[in-house]
Amino acid sequence: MNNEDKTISEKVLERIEHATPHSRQYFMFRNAGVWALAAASVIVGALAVASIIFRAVNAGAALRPGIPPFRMLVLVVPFLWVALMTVFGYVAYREVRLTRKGYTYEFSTIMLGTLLASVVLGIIFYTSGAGFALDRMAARHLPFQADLGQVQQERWFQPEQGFLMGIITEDEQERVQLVDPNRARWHVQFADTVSAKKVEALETGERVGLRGRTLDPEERVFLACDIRSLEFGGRGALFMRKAGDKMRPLDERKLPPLRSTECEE
Amino acid sequence: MSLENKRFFGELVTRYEKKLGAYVRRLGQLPQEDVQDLLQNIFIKVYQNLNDFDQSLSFNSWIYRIAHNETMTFFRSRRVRPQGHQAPMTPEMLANIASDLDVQQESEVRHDEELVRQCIDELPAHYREIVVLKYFENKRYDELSDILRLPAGTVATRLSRAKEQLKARLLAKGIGL
Repeated sequence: MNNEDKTISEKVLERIEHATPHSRQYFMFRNAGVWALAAASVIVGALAVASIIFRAVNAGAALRPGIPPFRMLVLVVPFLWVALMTVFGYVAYREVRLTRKGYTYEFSTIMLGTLLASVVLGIIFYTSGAGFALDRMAARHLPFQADLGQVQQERWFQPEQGFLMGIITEDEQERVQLVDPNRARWHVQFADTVSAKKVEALETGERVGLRGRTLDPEERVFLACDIRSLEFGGRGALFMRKAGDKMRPLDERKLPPLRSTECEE
Repeated sequence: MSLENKRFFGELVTRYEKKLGAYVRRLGQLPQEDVQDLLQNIFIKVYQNLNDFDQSLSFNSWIYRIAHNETMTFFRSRRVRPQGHQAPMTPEMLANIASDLDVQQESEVRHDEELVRQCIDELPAHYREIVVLKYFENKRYDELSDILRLPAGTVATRLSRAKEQLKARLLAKGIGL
């Protein structure tokens, strides 16, 4: 029979004669692949959320007071993660839509669902310390990602402008010392504007920021008018800093702190 | 059953051949040989994907979905916008459109079959495909959702917008509302 005289049915049967339908397993794996990609997108979104929470929580510890709000926003907002979250949110949406019943859900429902899943998972990641680890890693290896640690150092390590940061310690005479990022040791004297409670809340080995002025640049003596912890929150159990001894309150020290009225602006 | 005996699949092809052929022709103007090729491709795709058939869907919706996707892929591969359909309109189809769009007199519309066809052809592709399925293939909303893989809300919105555009075009061509 001439090929043109054949019916569609005959032509189709001829073409499928040596063909077999795709197996059930093939579709199962394909469906699993779609779900896996959707899940991976939600996880990437969650990591982005963890990093965003980390930066939002620690912005205060990174930036010293007096920074204009817009500059603060530019420094702190993790643009890369926000972009990644958006892209992967959309990928998750597309993948969910490809599942058997995914197309029956509205765009807003799927996006809200994936966003909610990313946020919940992101909070879990943040509390476990993944946000901290991710932010550190991203800051070191990825472009467009301001390193909060570096921002903190740039803002707080300017002794000539009255900002000093470092690790706080006590010597044998219970004098307070501070090791700056260059490993130089500073002697800290407290003005009466610093309450005993604030010092008591600190631990030796903790990273702190001091606001005040350099009394003696040669001997590295710094007068602290204000003190605050600069430790990043959200380290989780994995990256927890080892707890140090509590600092002795100023009023219990054998060597009383230098009282000064030189802190007024 | 089609898997066990390919002859049964042949019966399935015979059963859907006409319906799908008309549907493909309504989606866009194609030479007869292309329609034949497209139909063959559709049935081969159906055969290859038999194990993917979702029992919660009607087989009819499923096969229409494959036909729709294959036809759209075909048009994309040719880099042409689907234009003009060849399958004739039955009086029922015209009456269907007339009553749903509140077109004044069905008898008048019948005389303007060519104009109605033109107006449908002028619709953007995503509006035209939903109009074709609704008024020519008589599909329900849930079937439209399954065939086009769209949420029910989107189907309703898209159909309503398509109807608005169709109404406006009919009005512009002097078909009274």
